[in-house]
Amino acid sequence: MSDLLKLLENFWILKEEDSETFYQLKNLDKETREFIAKNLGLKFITTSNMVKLEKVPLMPKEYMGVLDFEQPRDYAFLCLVLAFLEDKGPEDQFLLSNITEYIRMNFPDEEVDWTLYSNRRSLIRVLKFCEKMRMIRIDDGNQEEFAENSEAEVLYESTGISRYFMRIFPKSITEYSSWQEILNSEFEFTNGISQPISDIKRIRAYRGLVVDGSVNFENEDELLYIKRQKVNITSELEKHLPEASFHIFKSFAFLAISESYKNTYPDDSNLCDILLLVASELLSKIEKGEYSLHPTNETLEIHVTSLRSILEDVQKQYKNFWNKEWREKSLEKVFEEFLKFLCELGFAKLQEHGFVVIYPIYLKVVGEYQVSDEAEESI
Amino acid sequence: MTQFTIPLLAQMKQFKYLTEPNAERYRAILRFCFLNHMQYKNRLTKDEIYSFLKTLPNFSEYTEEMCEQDLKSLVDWGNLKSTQDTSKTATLQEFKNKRFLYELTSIGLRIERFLFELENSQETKAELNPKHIEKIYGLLISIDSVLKDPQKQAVDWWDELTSAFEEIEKSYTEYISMLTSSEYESLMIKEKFLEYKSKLVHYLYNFHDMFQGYLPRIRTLFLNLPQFKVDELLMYIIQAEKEHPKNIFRDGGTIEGYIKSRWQNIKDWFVSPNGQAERLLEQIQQIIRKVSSYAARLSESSTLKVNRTEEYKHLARLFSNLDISECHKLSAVVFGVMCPKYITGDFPRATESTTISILDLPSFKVPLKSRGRLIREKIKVVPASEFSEEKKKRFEEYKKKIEEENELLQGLLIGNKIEFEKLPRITPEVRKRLFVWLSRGLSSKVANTDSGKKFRVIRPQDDKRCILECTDGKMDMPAYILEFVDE
Repeated sequence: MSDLLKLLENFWILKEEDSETFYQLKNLDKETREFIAKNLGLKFITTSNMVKLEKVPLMPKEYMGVLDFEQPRDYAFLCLVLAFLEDKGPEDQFLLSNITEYIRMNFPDEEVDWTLYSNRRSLIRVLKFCEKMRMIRIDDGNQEEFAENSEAEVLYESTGISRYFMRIFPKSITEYSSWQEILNSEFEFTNGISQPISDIKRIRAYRGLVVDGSVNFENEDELLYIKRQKVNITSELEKHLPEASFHIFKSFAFLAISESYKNTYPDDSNLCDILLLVASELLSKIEKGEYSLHPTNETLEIHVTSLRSILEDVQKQYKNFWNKEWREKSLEKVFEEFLKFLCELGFAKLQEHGFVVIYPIYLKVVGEYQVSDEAEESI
Repeated sequence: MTQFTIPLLAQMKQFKYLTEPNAERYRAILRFCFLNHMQYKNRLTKDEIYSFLKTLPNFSEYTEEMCEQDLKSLVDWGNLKSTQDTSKTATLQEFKNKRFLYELTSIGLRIERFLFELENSQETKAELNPKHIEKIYGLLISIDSVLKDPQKQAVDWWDELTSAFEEIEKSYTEYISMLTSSEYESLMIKEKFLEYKSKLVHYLYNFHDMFQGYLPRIRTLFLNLPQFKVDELLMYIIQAEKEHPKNIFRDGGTIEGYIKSRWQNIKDWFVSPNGQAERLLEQIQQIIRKVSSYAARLSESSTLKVNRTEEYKHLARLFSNLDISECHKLSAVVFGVMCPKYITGDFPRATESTTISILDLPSFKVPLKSRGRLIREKIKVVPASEFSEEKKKRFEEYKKKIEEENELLQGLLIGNKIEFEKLPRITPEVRKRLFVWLSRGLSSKVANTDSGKKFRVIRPQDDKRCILECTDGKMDMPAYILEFVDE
């Protein structure tokens, strides 16, 4: 796997977890470093025990967040845990009650009530995430007990790397009030870049391809840049991200990764099978002329009820191939999760008046069962 | 080592004054005597002592009688000695008071000096000065020339050696303990420390290098020094020590043992593997590492402008006002994308055109497989490469065990039998294995070994017994036979 793909696949690489990869990436070659700085406009950060590529997207999508989190409160707790860890160095120890007390005192606009089960569960999700990311370690105790008992005590220690979890911004984040504002100011500080305008275009186009994985008509300027610079981009990507193949259509461009990579679409889940089956149905309906794509954007605008009835057909026809959990789900439940996943992946967007806009990239991968003769007999 | 004698273990009443209920009074008296002694005023009258004590805060209730009693106790315990003042008295009252002069005994003086040093230990000279090591190296080299005129030089040589060694012991260990003390560590996490850091590391490195350079040379000198030279040298030193007026009353044997063991200790300090010298080097390395990591931590945190607490609090507010799908997006922007997602698949290579529709090229078809039990695909043979690492490991272990068993079996078989009577001397492991088989065989007609070999047990006729010889002893047992049978 190329160094760049490794940096993309991992939020960060820690010496204590994988020292071999850590040292390999710490000594990242000059060309890749230049590609990261010049074409992606991203920061490559190394410390004595961690390397990290800051992955700023062109257009943030839901799947790019912390999917372990279920509520906005989880994120708010994470921020306060990070604040709490700010003055803790490696191996500094603290108690769960220190954190709950800190959050109680500092939570915006209200005092957190730890006698509420949902608050305790939320904090456990956050602490588990921090542990998974190796920002904290458990020295003693079981944090799961906190769900049942608000008096449960756990001894943690900080690893000191929480300070690198948040990106480094050129000005204080208190001056922003939305992600749009932050992204818009990305290029306010173009330290030493000679031709800012064209550089920004290039950087945004590369970010769209490399970090987001695809660029569609919604980022018209970037898509146009990609089309014009097709040859250059192809050769640059071949050099630095050889696992990727680069595809352009009139309405969008995307990267496909051939190597085994952690986070892919499709993945090996039953829900993914359902998405692929519905995509196949939609595509054949489009080919038959039942639906038509928007002439320039190639999006499909479809009413929720139509989409649901397509899913219903798919469910009827194929649910015997699904695992028990999915076979037993009601149409409503399956449709709810289907639509949620579709939006999370950035393949669709809910519109007003019950319409869904489906992006063309969703139709590029379809699924079909390969039923052998014997299997067919047993149906 | 000096010969160990019982009287050493008797109670030392000279130390009593430190632990008695009235310790405060006794200690005040002796400290006063000691401080006067330091100014060469060795003898004090009861009045001088009493009037000084009365000036102290806790002594308002203190009476002359109490003072007299305390002085008497201290004399009894051997900390003070009293001598009659022989000077003429001016008044009758004075004469009646039977004036005594009080003076610290030599042991009393030493105890007080020791206590005084303990209390003021921060004033000691802790340092890592390589000159002491150099000195010892130089002294070892000069042994031959000392031996040319031992009468004159041996004692001086010995004094220099022992004092250089004492310096090493004292100043180095104190320096190390100072650097590793908690007060010093708390200094190291202050930002100001960065200014001293390089100086300190340089100092440590410098010493470390010097020491590491000298150590093997000193060792070689010690190890190559012929014993007769050592004996000769020490002999002169011992002789001189014995004759020294200060040692008139000391036993000659004790002096000799004392000097010899000091020599041995100095040698061991440098020479013995994992000895003190190596430990010192190790400790210095550890300190250098620690100092560097503290410094790295400090410089990293200062580049991050240390406190972003307010920013986190602001972010917490932003997050709590959004819905979860917008939270994920904000997270991607402020923390970065957790893990980018890519499409995988074997897509037909697009033409040169950048204006083709997605419908112009076929989509990538993913072959799906059944996930339920309702429809089973043909059972595929799983190739070995799909074994998980864990399974592979267990399988390897199993294979190894079977091979070992077969090997063992081949070694013990005579024909198709293992006869306990005819076995050679065996190890307890082999015995254990045989007994496992035996017990299996005794409980059923035909039994299996772990590798699947079938056998049955033949019970001895007439209860014949045999001696099983093992590496850990002999065992008397029935002369069983294990007969292996084919399928």
